[in-house]
Amino acid sequence: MTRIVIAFVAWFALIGVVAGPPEAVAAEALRITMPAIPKNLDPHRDPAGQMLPVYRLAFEGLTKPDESGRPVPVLAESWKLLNDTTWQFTLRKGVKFHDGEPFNAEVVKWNIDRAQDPKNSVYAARVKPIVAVEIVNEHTVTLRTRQPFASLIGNLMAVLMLPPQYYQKVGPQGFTTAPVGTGPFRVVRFTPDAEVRMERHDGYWGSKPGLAGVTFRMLPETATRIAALQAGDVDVAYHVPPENIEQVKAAGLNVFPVHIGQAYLFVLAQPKTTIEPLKNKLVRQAINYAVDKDAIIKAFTKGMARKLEGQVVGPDGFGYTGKVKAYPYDVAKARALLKEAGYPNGFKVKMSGTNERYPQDKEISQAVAQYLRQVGIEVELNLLEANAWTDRFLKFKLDPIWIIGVNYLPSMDHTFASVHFTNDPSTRQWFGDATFDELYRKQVTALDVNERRAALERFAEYIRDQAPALFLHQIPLVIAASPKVKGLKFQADYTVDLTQVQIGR
Amino acid sequence: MIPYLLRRGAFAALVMLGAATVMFGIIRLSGDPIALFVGDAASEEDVATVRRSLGLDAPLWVQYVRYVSRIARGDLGVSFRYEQPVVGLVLNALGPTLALTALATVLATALGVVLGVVASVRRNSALDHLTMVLAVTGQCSPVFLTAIVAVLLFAVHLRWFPTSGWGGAPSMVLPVGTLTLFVVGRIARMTRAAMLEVLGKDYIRTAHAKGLHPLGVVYAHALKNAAIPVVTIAGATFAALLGGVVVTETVFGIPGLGQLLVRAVLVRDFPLAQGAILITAFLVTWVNLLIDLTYAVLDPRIGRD
Repeated sequence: MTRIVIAFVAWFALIGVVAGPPEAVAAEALRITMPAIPKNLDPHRDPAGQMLPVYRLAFEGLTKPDESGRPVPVLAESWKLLNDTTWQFTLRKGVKFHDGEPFNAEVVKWNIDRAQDPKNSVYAARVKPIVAVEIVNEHTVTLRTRQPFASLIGNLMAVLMLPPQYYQKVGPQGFTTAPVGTGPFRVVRFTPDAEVRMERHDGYWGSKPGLAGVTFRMLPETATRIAALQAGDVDVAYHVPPENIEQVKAAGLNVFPVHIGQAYLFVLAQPKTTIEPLKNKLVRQAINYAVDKDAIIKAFTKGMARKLEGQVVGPDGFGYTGKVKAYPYDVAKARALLKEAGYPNGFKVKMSGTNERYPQDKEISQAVAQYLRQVGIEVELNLLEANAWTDRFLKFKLDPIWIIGVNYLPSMDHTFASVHFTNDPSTRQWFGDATFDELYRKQVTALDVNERRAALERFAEYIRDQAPALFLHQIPLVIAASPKVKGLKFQADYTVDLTQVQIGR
Repeated sequence: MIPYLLRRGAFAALVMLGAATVMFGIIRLSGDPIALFVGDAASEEDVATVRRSLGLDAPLWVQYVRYVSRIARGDLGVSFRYEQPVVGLVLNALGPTLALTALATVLATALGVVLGVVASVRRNSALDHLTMVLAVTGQCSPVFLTAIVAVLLFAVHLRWFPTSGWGGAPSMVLPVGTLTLFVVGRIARMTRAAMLEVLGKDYIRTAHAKGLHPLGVVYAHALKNAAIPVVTIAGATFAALLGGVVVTETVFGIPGLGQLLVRAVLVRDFPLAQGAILITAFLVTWVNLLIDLTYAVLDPRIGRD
């Protein structure tokens, strides 16, 4: 179906039907279209992370990521360690929610307590190590953690602050349609499956944006999103597939490739069990040598993706190290490693790929299977529909090799590894190697930033060597915008920085 | 008439219960909704907590009994994902879908009947062939394709209408036009076939022989007798469109019932999917009842049984 559309769109572009956008009249609100908008506006409840552009305009947390993934203060003015397990936060004074409710220590306690309950929050696992939130005074709060927990500041980026009094007054149902936060924009109208309309909040504590408002419109169909942008019905369109990029450029629109913090991996480890050939490190390394990642990026993302350098995070994630490089494409080396591991003729293995869960996932799954067959690994590929994948993932029923797009956002550190690869019985345990766990424990308890960075570097080196996954690339997000919009800055956590945005006339 | 309506009402209730039961079963076959609620990082313990809080830990029959007893009290529950009462969500989505469907059906019927009558009266003429070629083309072009071409031509190139969205008459032109084009063909062809049959009847020849005006014969005598199959197909079209305009809604970004249902099924929002089906079933049964009542008006012999 998509192909027919692309053919049509391309055809129209070719015959020059597409005219340049008309000169705009004084439009001060920015109109953004996305394939989906949040189903409800409670920011703690969206498991995908792709709704952050909407949430982050209306809500703020104690911290947020800067462009390199480092947490920077927002509603927290500063923080310091009292001892290895006690953090003290000084909160920003004079901050009020859109409805006038003051932001203070009570609010922080209520929100963190709420976020720890999996019924309310998909981020519960990230704040689980917090054992107590203590109010020192109106603008000071102390957090106690179970053990030294260096990811705390980063993980707190996920806990966007909601107003307790308002929430308790309107209840969860009232809040999901008429939410209130502390952000620079406030929600004025929410029509599920259609649009979220926001206006500038004039009582905002920080520097006020120049825009009068922002509207997020939902247009699930790619061809319509692009058409709406071409016709001037919207100013920005999220998610332009690689095959449409040339056409969008030809129409005089600006294209922004954003390397989002999502790592494309084929995991080679199984939760709570190990499968024989893959148990061998040499086999896992051979798989990494056998696949040409650059060719995959070129063929399926039109060169828009950024290769993962043999580690789970990209340069935008804390803990990224330039010392670790991707496995080169080397078929001879892959064969030699397989021989050394005792599989000179390869072996048979099942692989779970997906169909339309991640961008171009079917094609990439098939390409990976084909590369592995080249070195003698007979892959039986099962392409799963998005939800079928999730079911099997949660029930530990995926094949020995399986695809995943891992968000290392919004906390941009090794949360992923902590949750998935270590041997902590409360987590999913895919890898569970003693050295691995030790290195993980070291970095997460290293409270000094430099010490932690050094620990993460060793951790990344070990991950590269152990190769618990086939590392491909960071999934690219391509956004198109009208040339009238100046000063757009897109960030690795899907969000857009609107502070400098102006709409030309 | 009253007992007839009561009987039909009871039957409608039965159909709705059937639809609700089928949806209850089918959506549960689609898989476990918990997976889509919790993040990738959730532990097994978290999963169990959420499952309990949604009442999905109870045995299936218990869930079913709870569900049916709630429906009986008129409570369709609260959506898992939207966290709003299902009734409100479905009724909000129903507005655009009803408007879209009703407008398209009325337009297509008006246009289809005229085309069908013209084609039947001028049987085998160039006009007949042209009309039928157009009808079949409309019917065969996938809605998806027509919609995209319409957007590119009328919204991007000519800029007569907005590309998408729902609000105000201009935004309705393209989606209604697209749907009309899709269904007008079957109504035109049905009208033509029904008319051809009636036009061959003795009483038509008699009417002509009496020297009545040819237009009067066609519209007063022939069309009235050819109306029953046409009404049937128009009604069936309306009912089918109610739940089946999802493609149109998706392309034009209209927050209608079709999209709501598809989304509910995709994220396994059990209460929402069940509620949407239930309300659609309700509407379809009553549309069918209305069609049956129309028969009695069109052909008094039917009402007499």
